[in-house]
Amino acid sequence: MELKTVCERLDELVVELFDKLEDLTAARKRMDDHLKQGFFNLAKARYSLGVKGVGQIQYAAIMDPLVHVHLSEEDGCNKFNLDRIIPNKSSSGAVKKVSFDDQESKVRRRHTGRGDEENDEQKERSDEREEDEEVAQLSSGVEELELRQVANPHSLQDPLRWFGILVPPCLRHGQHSFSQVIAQSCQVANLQSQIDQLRLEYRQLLRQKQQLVQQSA
Amino acid sequence: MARMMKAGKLISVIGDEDTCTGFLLGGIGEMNKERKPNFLVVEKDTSVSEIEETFKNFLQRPDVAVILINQNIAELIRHVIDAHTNPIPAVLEIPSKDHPYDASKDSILRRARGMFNPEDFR
Repeated sequence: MELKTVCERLDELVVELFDKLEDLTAARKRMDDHLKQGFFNLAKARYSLGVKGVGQIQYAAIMDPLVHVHLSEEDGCNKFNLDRIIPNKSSSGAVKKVSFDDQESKVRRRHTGRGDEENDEQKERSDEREEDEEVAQLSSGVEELELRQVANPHSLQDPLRWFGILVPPCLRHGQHSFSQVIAQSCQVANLQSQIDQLRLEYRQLLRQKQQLVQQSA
Repeated sequence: MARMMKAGKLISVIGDEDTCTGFLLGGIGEMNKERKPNFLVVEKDTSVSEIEETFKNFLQRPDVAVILINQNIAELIRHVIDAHTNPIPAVLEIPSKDHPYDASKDSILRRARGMFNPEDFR
């Protein structure tokens, strides 16, 4: 490579580096703003839930991550992509929903007078059909059950539930702020990785330039 | 073109109680089969050696992609953070509730600043 092309590439790298540094500063600023908001909301939640109401005592003993980072390689540097699992709300609010349904069915039975027997017959028939289907799918049913147990464990619940069922809205807002911080942190990690890559390339080219200068001298 | 290397890595946190609580609310918390969490709550009585050991453990864990650490805690183990030059896991210094972020202390930015040696421009 000629000295001129090396110098031009070095200039390009410096410009690119400063662009990335500017992006990094902006991303950091956004992350800091979300963090500030998150801390503020947590403090407000602590005010309503009590001093010990928001802390490590409430952490679940079993927890699985709802956020994963996928790594890919792009132009020689690593790219961090965020993947979020939305927790199943039925698992968290199951008890309440079931009790509500039971109550509703009891009320229906009480108010329907003559149609009760017909309803019962229909229900029995449908139950028989369901039983037959269950027997027919017995072999596959076991597998499905196991899969369901794996896919829907208690650990995959919304972390908000650690703090109770009716949590204050500020805790919910705090969770939202911290989710945004997590998304921003991936962007910051990407930019840091790119800056590091540029730095290495710059050092390498600078060494090459020094060698070329020595050779020409 | 992008090439997928591995899927589903974790974000780990070393920070004060509020920082850890916030990020765990965000859904990053994991307790693995050996009952080892991917976070460390640093309290008043947490020793520097414990922080250092946890940080080194996170660096060695193959399932960790990003380590978030409060900058004031990072200052305590600066030599370990400076020694880490691998791109994965990425180490991000974040502000805590009572210590704002200072760019001049950040390892990555200090490394970037070190690129421009006055002797190189002669």
